[in-house]
Amino acid sequence: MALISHAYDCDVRIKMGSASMEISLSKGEIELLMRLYKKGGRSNLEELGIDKSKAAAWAELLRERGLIEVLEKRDEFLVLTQRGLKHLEEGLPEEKLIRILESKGGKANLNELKGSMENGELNVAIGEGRRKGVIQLEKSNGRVTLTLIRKEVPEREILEKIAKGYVRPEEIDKEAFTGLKRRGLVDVGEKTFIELSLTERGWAAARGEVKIVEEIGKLTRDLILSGEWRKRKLKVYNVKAMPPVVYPGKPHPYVQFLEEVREILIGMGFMEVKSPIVEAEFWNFDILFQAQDHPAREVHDSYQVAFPSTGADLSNYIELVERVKRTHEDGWNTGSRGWGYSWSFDIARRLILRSQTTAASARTLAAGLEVPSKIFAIDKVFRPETPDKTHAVEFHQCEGVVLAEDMNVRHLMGFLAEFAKQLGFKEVKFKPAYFPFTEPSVEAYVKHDQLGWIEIAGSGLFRPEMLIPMGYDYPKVQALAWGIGIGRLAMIKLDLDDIRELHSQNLDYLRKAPLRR
Amino acid sequence: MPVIRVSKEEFFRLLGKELSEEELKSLLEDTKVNLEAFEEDELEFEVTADRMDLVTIEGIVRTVKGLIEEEIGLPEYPLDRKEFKVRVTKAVAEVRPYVVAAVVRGVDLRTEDSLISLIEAQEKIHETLGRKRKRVSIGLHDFSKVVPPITYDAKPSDEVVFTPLGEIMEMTAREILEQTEKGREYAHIIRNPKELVPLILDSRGEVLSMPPIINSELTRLTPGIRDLFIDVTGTDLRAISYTLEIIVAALAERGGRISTLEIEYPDGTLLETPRPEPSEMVVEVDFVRRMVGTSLSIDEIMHQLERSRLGAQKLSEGLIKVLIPGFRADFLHPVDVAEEVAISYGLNNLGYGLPENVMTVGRRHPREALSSLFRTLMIGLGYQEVLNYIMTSKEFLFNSVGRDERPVVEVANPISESYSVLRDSLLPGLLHFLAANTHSQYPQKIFEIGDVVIIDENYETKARDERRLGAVYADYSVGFEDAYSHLKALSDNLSLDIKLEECEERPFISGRCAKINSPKGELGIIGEIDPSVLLRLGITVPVVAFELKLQALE
Repeated sequence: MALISHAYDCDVRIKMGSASMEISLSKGEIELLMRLYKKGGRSNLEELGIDKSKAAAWAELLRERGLIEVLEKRDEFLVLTQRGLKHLEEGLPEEKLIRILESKGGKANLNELKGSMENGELNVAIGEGRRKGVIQLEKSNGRVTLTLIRKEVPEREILEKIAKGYVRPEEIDKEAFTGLKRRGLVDVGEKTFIELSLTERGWAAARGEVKIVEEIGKLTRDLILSGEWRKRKLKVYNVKAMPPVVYPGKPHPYVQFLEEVREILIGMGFMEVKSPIVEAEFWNFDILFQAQDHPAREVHDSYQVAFPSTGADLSNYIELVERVKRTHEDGWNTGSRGWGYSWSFDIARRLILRSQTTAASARTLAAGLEVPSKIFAIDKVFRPETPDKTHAVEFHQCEGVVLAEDMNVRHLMGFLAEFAKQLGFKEVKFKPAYFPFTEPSVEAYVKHDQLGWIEIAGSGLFRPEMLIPMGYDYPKVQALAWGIGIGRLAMIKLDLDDIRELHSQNLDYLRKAPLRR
Repeated sequence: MPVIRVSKEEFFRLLGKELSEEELKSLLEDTKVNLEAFEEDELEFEVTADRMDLVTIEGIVRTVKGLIEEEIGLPEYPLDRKEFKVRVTKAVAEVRPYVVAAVVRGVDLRTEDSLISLIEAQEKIHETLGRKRKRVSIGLHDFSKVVPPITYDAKPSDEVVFTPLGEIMEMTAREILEQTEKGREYAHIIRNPKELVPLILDSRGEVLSMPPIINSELTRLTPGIRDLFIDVTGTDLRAISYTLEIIVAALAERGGRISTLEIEYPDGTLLETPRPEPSEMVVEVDFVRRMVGTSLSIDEIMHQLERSRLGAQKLSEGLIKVLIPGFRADFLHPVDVAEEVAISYGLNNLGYGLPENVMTVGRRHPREALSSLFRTLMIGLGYQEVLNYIMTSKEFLFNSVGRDERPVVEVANPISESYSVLRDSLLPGLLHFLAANTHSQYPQKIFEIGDVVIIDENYETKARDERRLGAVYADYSVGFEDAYSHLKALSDNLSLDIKLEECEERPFISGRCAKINSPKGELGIIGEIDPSVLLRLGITVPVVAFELKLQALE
């Protein structure tokens, strides 16, 4: 904090040089000085009854004038944990037990108590209750009877005290503190206090031995209208002092990056399309000529939907479904051999969570697009991966398709190179790849100053087995397509090393993260 | 993508010449095999999933020979046809229906490395193409211990006795399934009510293997072995045939002579394996040029195909007959031939450029356009944007934030309970966000614009996405009117006609909660959060919130 960490050239404006008989202070500074004086010349900043941020600023100015000393002190105090707060609200387990026993006339046997509280809580309640002499346990004939002895537990008062304000650990009973800590109800927090104390000169000023001339600090409407501002001295501000911190409202850095990508694609003539999160396997896989026994369709690579438990309604696409089925089985009239297996409608209508944004392209293409068209999608996809630094349970993909006559693999690479250039990468190279729904298939790599060559996109020309059943005039009409794990790219651009930080739960990080330029 | 490690010495011995790391790397740069590591003793390659022929060291050597033009065109291996029969019984059809097999003689497997690499390739195929042996499993046998012909049969597990590979004593099939490591790992694949186990038997009735579990000790491979019998069984005839071709071609690269066998299925179907002839595909030269985007000559195209170890015959100036060896399963359509030409020519040698005359108009999706307007206003109101996951848990969505439970989309195969359903509201995520940041300076004004998923029987996929805006405002002192004034600022600036109507909904305080209505229907909810919910979350300051359905306004 600026208040103590900065060593300023003190801007002391003492009238009448040697004797220092007069000093100019603002109204606020005078108020703080006098309050401190009334507190015996020493106080915590927060205990002065002045708004903390104002008090801090005034204290700094008084310090610069040599009137007070400012000291940062650390102190331990107790805080309630989440569980502590819950028990404060709902009652401690032993308190619940007291209430239940009260309602049963102060006595009950263990069996009838079961079910009145959660099992774990009941055990805690009995254990704690016995330890504190709140209840007594008697065992006879295999039956355990509980008798209520006391109706109060000392912890209640302590919890309430802690909830109200700063309580130092040594201020409460040591045994009770250990017990609460063991039960995870309280924790020791640390607080930084700012302690102010008057210097010799400060004492003199407060006692009136040095004359205080009131300066005008903040101008007000009254001061301006009354003309008072002309008569009095306007305080000279230390422009080097730090102002209070404010956080503006702003976009999430990742959203800002995704918006940039959107702008680039829109600028290149692409129209944005969407598809549902809960998707039929038909749109996510079958129409893409991904065989029904393809490993990507297995449980470890895509999320199957358990509820709703009915399959998708594909009755609007009967002809398309039939063409897709035949294409898988024997190639239909696509010129392909097909995959040579018996295609199942029941698998195609199973519901999954969208595992690739190609589903959005497929839906849009199947609905009938004009030639030429360019489309893109930026949306979440879902895959059952254990979250770690490089895997998230859900992540964004960015998908683009160029549907036009006479496209070829050189145009595909041309679009990828242009897109990479727009994203700020100068060098690009390509490698052959394999994806079930594109041929030829190409991976694009870009050169990063620190990281070297990094893969940014999987791409290719959509296969005839995909385009022909949708009604496109292959090979005259071709569709160039690419998909980008845009989150990985965002990590590079935002300088993150953990993909989970794209969904950061840390408000301070978001508040302090500068906007991308 | 499969990764394979091979002995460096063995690799260059098979290749017949040494290459430096740079030479090998640049040769493979533009292919579907990547050189991942060039170490003291070993090489590591990564191959794409459509090229399982490259999980064998011999397959990679064969490819490299083509690239350096040491050997080009269709590999030709000496072949004898229909040496003996493999009879398939009816009984095995319900247990594990398909088998293919071959004999390869005179194979050079003199080094220990060569045997190891063969077994590693086998395991790699089991893991990938074989779907952990369920779809495909391979048995490799010392043919000198086998007396043909062969029968593929199934028998009750108690009636089968043999010494499994790696054991000393004979065991019953049941004991093998229950007591050995491999048995326990793979028994589920062949579980059937009659407790039958599939068996490869020779003419003496000796068990050669019990696929897909284990081979017999009888036919164990030992260094120096020359003649091999190979069986491949499984549930998918195409996949097992392809596998057999890969293994047989690899052994033939080591000087082996192949004998095809005749598989006789119970319905009388006869199948010769491996295929004695390559398959053929006729492609138009113009089609290849169209896909690749350059006007390569027919001779150049044919040369590139041969470098890729395919056969190419000129039928006319416009037509090429491509001969495809059995170990290449990635040719379904002439477009696959076009890709082969592009790869062989080198993608980075083709050059690239943007097409002319593909004039289209770019446009943001209306949902994103609308989201963007709301985002601008929320930022103007001083709110920080956050992003939360769509996947979450019921506990997170309901109980933990005091909401009443309602049906949500659930997945059948969650990785963990924490990510097992899709959110139906943005509010829980925002409240948890506040709970995670109680140490941070107040006021805290945060918002999220994102999708929730609502169960909807009328929708094609029984659930629909809904774009929403959620906002929470937490401070030492904050109240309903603070949230309402912000909501009002949104509605005034976007010309929405909204009216509030009191309602009761958890986790809002009773009497401080309202539905947001508009002529387009109900748009959302606004209110103050119940302090008991806040305390449970560890939040000790009041919180107001609203959630708006944006999609209704598109």
